Amino acid sequence: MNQFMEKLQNTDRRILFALIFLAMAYPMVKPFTLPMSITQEVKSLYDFIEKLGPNDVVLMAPDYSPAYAPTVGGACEAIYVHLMRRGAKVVFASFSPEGPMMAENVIASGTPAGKKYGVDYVNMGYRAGGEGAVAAALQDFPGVFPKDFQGTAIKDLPAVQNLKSAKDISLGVLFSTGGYAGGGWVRQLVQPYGKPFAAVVTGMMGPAHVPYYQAKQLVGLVVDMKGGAEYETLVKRPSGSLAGMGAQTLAQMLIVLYMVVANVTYLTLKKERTRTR
Amino acid sequence: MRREVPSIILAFVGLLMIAETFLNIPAVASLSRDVKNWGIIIGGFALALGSANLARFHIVRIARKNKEWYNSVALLACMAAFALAGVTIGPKAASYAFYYNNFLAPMNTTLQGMTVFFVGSAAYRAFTVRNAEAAILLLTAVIVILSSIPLGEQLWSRIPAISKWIQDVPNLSGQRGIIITSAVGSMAIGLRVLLGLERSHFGGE
Repeated sequence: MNQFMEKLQNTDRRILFALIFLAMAYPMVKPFTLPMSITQEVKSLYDFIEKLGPNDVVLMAPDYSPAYAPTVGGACEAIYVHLMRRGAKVVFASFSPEGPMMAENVIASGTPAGKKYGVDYVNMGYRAGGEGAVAAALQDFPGVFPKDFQGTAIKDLPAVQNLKSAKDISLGVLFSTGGYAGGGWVRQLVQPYGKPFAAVVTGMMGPAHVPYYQAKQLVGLVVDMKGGAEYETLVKRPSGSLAGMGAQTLAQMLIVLYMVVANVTYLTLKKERTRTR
Repeated sequence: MRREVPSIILAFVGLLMIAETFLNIPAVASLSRDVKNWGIIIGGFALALGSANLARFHIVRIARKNKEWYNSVALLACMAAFALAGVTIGPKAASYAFYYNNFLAPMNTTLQGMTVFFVGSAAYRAFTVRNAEAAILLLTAVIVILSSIPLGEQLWSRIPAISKWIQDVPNLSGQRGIIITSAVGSMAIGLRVLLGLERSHFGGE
């Protein structure tokens, strides 16, 4: 028994890696989905967007890199699709160098037929400076973004012609995987202008954003791939997040199993050592 | 002079931002807007400076033939190729998007995806219950992990509610403590900068 436990405790990590690989590869071969409940944080953002219409301008900041596209990209696309359905104007403005390309990908895969670039949605590109650039753009949007990502002047883009400052936006949505994150936007958008704001963040960042949601400084909080999957469920448009939940489910269950096995072996061997002393 | 002039500039900018927040004076708002725009330009220069520094570091590595110097060659080649593509064809070109989506994005995602293997290995090797605190941490981790997958609530319907309680009560009080204390700390640092007492960012001290 003890020999078996010791063997189990010293399992070659290549075996651990191989099991994780199999757990993640299986849902790619045989995709599956499981029913899930919708969290209040995600539902409240959905409900807020349901009230928006063609006169509303929504500022979306896709501040994530391709590495995190599976984590927050699905939610970005689902929220964009929802806004398009509501007829709201969507303005992508990035404060992370990777952002404009992430916006391009979301636009390419999520734009419904009949919606026009420059009229219904626009990608304004990237500005350096982090939270300082966010503050500047919210104070003087045309000054900070005089042209879009394609190089078209703002005067030729009806979607942003009336966007002078944060006072003209109906909602700000940040997609963040690090840095100043939601706290910075609360400081620059919610506090000075009193405008609604929502954050889409990684699982690791989620707990740090809960205080802002509880204080009603966020109208919605979408956390990690599961939050994205919940949003995709709400808009009835399965995409990247729901597709990824199978792999995430099996991989995380395996990690939980690893923790359980590791602790059972550790405690059994510890008890045995104490007994033999 | 090398420290006094930057200190005066810093104090001026800091006071300007405070004045803009508390006073409704158009001239102050206009000046503050200009200063924020300068910040964006400085941010752009910082990116260029960072790239130059990275290039210098790797050129030195190659020149000295340090261990695995060929990785530095690959890094510089990729950097040059993407910079050249960005400057000549521009990031809006379809060919740039092709390179981005078929080279940079898969490599970036692969690197990130590989961490799951190390997380799994670490969970097996290091996450053991050595004392009561570790037991609480382990139990919390298991509940939060289970709540982040649909299977969690299928296994036990109370998992989402328990996870929400963890997020809304112990986590919330801890996070609020961190937010409030770091805000007070920021105010203290800001005051020291305004008064010219904080000079560590000039180097030394």
